[in-house]
Amino acid sequence: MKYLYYIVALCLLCSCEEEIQLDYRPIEPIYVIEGHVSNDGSEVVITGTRDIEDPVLKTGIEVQSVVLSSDNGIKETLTYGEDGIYRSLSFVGIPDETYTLTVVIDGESYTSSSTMPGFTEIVSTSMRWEEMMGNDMLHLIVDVSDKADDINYYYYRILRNGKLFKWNVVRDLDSSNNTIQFDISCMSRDKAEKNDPDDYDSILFEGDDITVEVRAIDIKAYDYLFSAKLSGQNHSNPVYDFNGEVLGYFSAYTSTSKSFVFHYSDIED
Amino acid sequence: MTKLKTTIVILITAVALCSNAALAQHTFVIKGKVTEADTTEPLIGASVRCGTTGAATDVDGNYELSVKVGCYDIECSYIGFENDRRRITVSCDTVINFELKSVTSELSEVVVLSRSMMDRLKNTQPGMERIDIDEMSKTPVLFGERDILKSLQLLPGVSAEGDGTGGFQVRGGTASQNLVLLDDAPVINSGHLFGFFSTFNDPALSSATLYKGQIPARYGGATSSVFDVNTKAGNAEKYKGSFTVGLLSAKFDIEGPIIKDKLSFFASARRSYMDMFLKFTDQFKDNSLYFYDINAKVNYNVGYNDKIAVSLFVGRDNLGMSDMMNMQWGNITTTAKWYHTFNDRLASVATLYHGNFINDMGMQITSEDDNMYGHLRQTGIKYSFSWNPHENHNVDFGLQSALIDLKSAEWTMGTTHQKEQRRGWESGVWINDDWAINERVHVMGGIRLGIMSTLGGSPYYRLDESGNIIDCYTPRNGKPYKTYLSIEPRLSLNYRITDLQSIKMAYSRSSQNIHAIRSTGSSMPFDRYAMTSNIIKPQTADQISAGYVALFGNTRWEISGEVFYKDIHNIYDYKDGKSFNSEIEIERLLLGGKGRAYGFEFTLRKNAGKLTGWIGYTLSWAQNKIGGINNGKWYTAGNDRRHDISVVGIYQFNKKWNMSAAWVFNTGQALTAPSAKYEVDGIHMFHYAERNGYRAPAYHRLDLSATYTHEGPKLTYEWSFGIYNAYSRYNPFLIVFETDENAPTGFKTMKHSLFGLVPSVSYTLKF
Repeated sequence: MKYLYYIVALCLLCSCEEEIQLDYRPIEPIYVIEGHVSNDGSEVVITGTRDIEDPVLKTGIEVQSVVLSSDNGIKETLTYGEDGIYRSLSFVGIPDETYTLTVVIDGESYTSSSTMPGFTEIVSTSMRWEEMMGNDMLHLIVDVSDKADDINYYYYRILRNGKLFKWNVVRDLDSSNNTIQFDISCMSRDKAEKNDPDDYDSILFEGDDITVEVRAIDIKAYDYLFSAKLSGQNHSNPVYDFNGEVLGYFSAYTSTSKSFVFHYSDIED
Repeated sequence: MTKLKTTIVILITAVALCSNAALAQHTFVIKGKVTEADTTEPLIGASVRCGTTGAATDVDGNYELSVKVGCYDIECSYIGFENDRRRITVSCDTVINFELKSVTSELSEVVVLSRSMMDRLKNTQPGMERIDIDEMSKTPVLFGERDILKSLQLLPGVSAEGDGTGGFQVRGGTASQNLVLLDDAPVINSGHLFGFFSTFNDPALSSATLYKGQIPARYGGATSSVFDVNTKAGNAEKYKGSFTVGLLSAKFDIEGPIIKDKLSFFASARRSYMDMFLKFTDQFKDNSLYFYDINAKVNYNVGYNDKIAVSLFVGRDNLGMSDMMNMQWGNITTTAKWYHTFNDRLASVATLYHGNFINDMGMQITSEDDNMYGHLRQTGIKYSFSWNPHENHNVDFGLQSALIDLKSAEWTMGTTHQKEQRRGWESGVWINDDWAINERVHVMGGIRLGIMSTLGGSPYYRLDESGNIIDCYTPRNGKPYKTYLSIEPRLSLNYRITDLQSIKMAYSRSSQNIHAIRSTGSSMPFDRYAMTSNIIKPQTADQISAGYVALFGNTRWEISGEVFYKDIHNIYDYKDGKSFNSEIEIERLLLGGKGRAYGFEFTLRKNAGKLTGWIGYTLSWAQNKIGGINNGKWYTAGNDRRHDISVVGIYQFNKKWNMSAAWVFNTGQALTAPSAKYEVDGIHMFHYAERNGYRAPAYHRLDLSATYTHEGPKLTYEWSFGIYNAYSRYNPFLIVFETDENAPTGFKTMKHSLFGLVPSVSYTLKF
């Protein structure tokens, strides 16, 4: 809808935006579970929702139990760390294996499963300016190896100085190629040149540390993240990934990443 | 002998008296047609009175009276036209046609309201609005472009989908539940440029009727309303035309006889030229942005009993951004109609129609070409009859059958290709009787039987609860796979309490087999459509309504009120977390449920004098209940406008200057706002605890317009000046919730608006 709004505003060459106040009604907090099994280890964080006008981030809380298990019979009860994260370096995922996360909170058990896809690699990254509606946009092009003869799902995350800058999920329906390309629009040249502090979150600066992480995920995680992406546009909740009414998701994934320092001189013409 | 003579004289006298008496008892038929002298367009609802009897003309301008032998004054009248009164002697069946001349423009200001006024009093059906094109064209509109759809939104019970858009919502329904017909052919997404301009070019239109309450049995395929628009037939006697230049578009129309009084034509065309302005800007010079439409009609009077009309409409929008993206969409409709009169009591209209709506969007991202297509084609025949078995009965009956070809989506992304296309066969038969029991009581009863078959040639699925495909079956091409029968009764009553007051009651059921599934609150050209299938059921609506209409102050004023309650079954919406492009198989994305709408409409009109206009107020509720949304509880529908007020004034200063003003207010759109926030993977997320539990700020605006008309002996020109949103209220078009780390709450709510004050000017030359 927002995209359409911009098209319409462009068509009519008029628009206006202003901040308004709504009388938000608070609700009882709901638990949020983030669970990950990767080729590097496992992490689970349990937090909760907070009031819409509460600016303080929630840290992970301790619950009755957090158990990871796999189809091949491996089972581990994770221990709560001081940083609020349940972590295990020994519970490492293996491709094609299905893992189950069971979290018990206040006597209620919440479960979700995920199958780990095969490994992927970042083949190359490059940057270039592309014109769109009279404005140059910086595009980050990421080529990733892709398993042919299969539908694959990817979750890319661009971190700028360790903080999430861009993310999205991609479904590769084209089974004939061995690579897939992500074309990620990063910032507009106009914004970069204006250098308005309000836009700092959407501008890359010379010398920024950039990390591109690509995760191969299963369809269940893809559905969750796709619906999470839509959530802001459609004003609807992501699909429920756990069997109970808790938020969040569990994903077993393989991950690859590449880091570089951002220089304007590296941008292709 | 004298006695015999006396007896013979008495007998002869008696026979003569008896025969005179018998002759006097015999009734003869007077029939004919009432047309507008200048345009030869039939006048609907004109009054023809002969002695103590009278009749109103039907949709084709025909009337029929039965009178006894004798000498009469027959008079034809139509408000806004000069009366035509003649002295006739009736001794056999007689044909009398009337060609009424329009009175001065000053009076015609008044008329337009008055025509509808008598309609509203006499019509058996509640919730029927016969739209007067002239009247509607005098209400102020956006960009100075006369727009029947935006004018429609000023009527009680009708509201706009969004600021400046032409999509209209009727009595708690969505725009996708309206059937819009142009010369009987269906028009989909009846707006140019995302609805900011109407598809209907006003010079091409001759009549339009909105059925928002009881939908007559001859219409099928809409659960909310039917908007039936007819184009001009063309002047059969002389050439006429006009040319208009506005700020954003230009248009012309021409009409005239090809063979005088036999064969006539009408043609009009319109094109926007916003793209020309874009070329003057560095930023947008490579973009294209325009729409155009063409209307054409040929009318052939074969004889007194037969007439053939063929019409064509082509409308296209095009939006291109350099060589990165190109979007185009639009309708093509064609209609051929054959009007035939069998005898004094039976007439028919056979219609062949074809409607084709297409959308096509192409994007080039780096080296990959992505394209999305869709179409909705409907090709059908409609054969309707009007039969008057008795002067108190007017029976309509007929049949309709159409093939539907729906390409819900076709996507080509790089080397991948996906398509979902299905066909269906929809038919209906109907009968309807409008029965005048006596001078006070009119009853109308009818029934429509609808049959919908989904046809083979495409895959059909069985799904599990999560929307995954369990199995797939492709029936043989053309073979009916799943058939639904719908029985749709209609019943209404009009009781004339006095000559100037009436009460009405009605019940109707209607159904719809084409479902527009929308991602946004407004109709968009790239909405996906779903057809009734083994999974998607026909949508049905039951509506009851009751109303009161009264004229007072020497019929200069009118007051009316109507209450309604509507139950809707099988409404479909996207599941949470799904969008139009989540899957090609649209049934996997949807949840079905039910809806209800109820409310009250009030109107106070001033129908005569220099100042005319109306105040309309609607209080209504629209709610949906869909399992899987809002925890399966009833929730306020996105199209709910609790309070809706429109105040319209049209003031005729003199023959040259006319001014109008319209103020609208409605409760802000129901809105789903977040109830809490949280983080996952460092992504800021919102949690929505209740669907449409909040309201956007209220919507209101004032529009003003003034028109200067100079009538010359051969040429007439007109300047129209307008101000849309005169006090520059920035009404909400979109509400966005954003995280903002600089804000004390880490959060802000942004209102995006499209229009402030928008001035406009246009010039029209008529010849």
